[in-house]
Amino acid sequence: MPKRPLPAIAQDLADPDSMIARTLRSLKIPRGPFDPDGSYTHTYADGTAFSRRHVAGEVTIRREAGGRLHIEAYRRTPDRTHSYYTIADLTCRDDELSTPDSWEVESKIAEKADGPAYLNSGLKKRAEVENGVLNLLEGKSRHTFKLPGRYTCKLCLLDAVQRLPKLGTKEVHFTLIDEYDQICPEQTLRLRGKTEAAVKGGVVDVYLYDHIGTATVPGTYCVDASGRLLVYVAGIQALILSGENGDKTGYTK
Amino acid sequence: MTSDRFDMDRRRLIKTSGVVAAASTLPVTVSAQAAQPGKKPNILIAICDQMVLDAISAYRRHFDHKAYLCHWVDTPNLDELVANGVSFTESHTPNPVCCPARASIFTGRYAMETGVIYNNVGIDRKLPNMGQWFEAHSGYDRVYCGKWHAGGPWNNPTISGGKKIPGFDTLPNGPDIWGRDMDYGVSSSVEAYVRNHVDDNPFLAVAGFMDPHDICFWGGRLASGQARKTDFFRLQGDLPVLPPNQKYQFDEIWRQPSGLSDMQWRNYIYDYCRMVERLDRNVGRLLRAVRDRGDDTVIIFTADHGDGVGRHSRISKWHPYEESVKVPLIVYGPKFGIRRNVLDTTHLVTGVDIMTTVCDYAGIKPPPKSRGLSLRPLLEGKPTEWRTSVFIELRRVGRVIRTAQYKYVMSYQPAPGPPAKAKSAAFVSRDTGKPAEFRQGEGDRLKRIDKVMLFDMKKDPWETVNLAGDPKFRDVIARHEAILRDEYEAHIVPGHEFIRK
Repeated sequence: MPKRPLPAIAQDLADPDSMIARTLRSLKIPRGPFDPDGSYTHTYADGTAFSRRHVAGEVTIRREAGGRLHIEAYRRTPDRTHSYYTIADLTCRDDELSTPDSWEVESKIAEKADGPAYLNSGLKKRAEVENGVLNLLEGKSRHTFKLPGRYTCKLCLLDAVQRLPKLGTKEVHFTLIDEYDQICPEQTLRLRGKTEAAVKGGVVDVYLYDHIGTATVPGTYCVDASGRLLVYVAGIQALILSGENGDKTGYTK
Repeated sequence: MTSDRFDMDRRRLIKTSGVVAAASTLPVTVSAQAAQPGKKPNILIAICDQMVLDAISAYRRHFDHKAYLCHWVDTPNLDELVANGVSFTESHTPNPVCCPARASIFTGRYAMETGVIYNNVGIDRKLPNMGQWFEAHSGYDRVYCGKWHAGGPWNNPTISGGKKIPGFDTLPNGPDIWGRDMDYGVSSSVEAYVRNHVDDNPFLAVAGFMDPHDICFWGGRLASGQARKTDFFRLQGDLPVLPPNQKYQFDEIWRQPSGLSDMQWRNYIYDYCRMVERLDRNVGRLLRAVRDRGDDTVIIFTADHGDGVGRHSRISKWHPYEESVKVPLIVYGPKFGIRRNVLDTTHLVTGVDIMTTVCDYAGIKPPPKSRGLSLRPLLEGKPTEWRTSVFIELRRVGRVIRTAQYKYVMSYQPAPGPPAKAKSAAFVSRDTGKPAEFRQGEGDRLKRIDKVMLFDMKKDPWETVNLAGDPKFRDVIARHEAILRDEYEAHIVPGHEFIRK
């Protein structure tokens, strides 16, 4: 029996059969100009690097000029009547990690984002970082953690990587806070390279940044020349740009 | 009098050991505080999927070979559990695949009894699960969140309907089967439940994590990790070393090694370690919430089964080797007399002990014919009798007997024909679609495969030499066959292939 050929590495854009290449070919790049330091709203389909059938939810990131991020993520529950929500507001710097100085995050299982939490599932946390110390208020309890060097929150990277082409960053080391409250040291974000990629209706320049580190299954961020994050693939998770300021990319639920 | 039968069975399984505490390689740094009289603990079970026992960084001193995963992971939260609880190095799954293992853990019965002898079939409806038992016999609030996969071909329970776990309220989470997407929701939802729970009743909460099961998709079209024949992510010195037992020469009962290259294996193990670290952060949320409550909760951390992680050139589970059948088991509860910083390297424990243990801490009797022993005396350092062997089922008709020195493996010939299509309902027979209900005695018709395996676990911990063909070990094999026959199959319903009827 002939051996089946191996599928391509999901993040290997050089292979036209890779998940990242196939996804990019299905995306219509938003037409408007994009400024990673300005205001924007991006919506990402959150699922696996498998197929559209396996989109489990969405992540919406809204940025205001000056560095305030509002990040809403939901994933549907098996009931399909509820979703698991995290809603975060962060005050971030305009740097290559979108370093957050403070944030508030609410998580819950609910029927809708502004609905009541189901069965004791609601929780709010507040965090501030001062002089390299993270002060975290979880419910009624306060905890402090030393942050060694540079840091960011997991979902802040969706904003941060968009600034890397403009800043010319090739490699940055940091501590990851996953997603808003757990410390994962020794992270590296590293430029894999710049290349051309086929998208719906043409070819664009893209930058690929690999992310490795503690508690991080190796993944790749793919941004276009203006910095717009198009796809993130790590392990079997994929975040795929489905809309920018209401302009759809064609990748929808 | 089913409990009498249980006691009789149990007496056959155990011998008086008089052991107060097992050999501990970790120093006991803090003495346990006294439990509050009359106060029942909350109970929090964190069960993950497909985690090998040695993938906890706190175990580096015990597992000194560099190929053990403790040398390649950073798990501060699991380390904290280890440092403040009792953990076991001779901890075994009842069955190295999801559904059978989970059904056994949550009923305290073996797969032959639950009927869940392979994936995606329902638990015999006559057997109460942990939630149902607690509902009937304790005043505990009961909640389940995340992966269940112990009854039927579905992973995560719903709030109501056919996929609600009887006996448990549901914190619904995770529509699908991957760890990255689901586990953060599970940990923060259970964390919230723990922090917010203010009822007079204590709670029994279960957090079912997917990680590090995502490794199952590593080789396929999802992540295509298998295509990483080079150091694609430039991981270099962070790539783990290979285990010493990838190449071995003995006649196996089930021969399914994976033909990955050295670089592919190293990438596989690297990714697996990151998934374990991801899991560790989710456990951290739960641990912090429990500590913030004043440690009024007993935490049990375990896994349903292990993973090949390249040992014996294996991915996945299903096989009888240590990487597949050993699982982490850590119990934490400093306010309830559970000792701190004790690594129990002696006692043979198994997932069916969990049901009996949580009943003990809740102050209720375990269900009739529970096969497990309460871990409580081991946790609290009290004299006790303990079993001298552990029984593991696998691949529907495979059997493993593990004693202090040896591991004996045999199998019956499985009945021919593929299993029928699974029904998408909660607690039904995969074949008939009717509520699962199983008959006794069908196992007698099964024939043995004329092949066994025997490993000396003291001299050959990586299981590289099958001693079964050596005449010097005939008596050892005979002794283990007698244990299987007299101490397990004679007392546990031998229903091997019964759901095919």
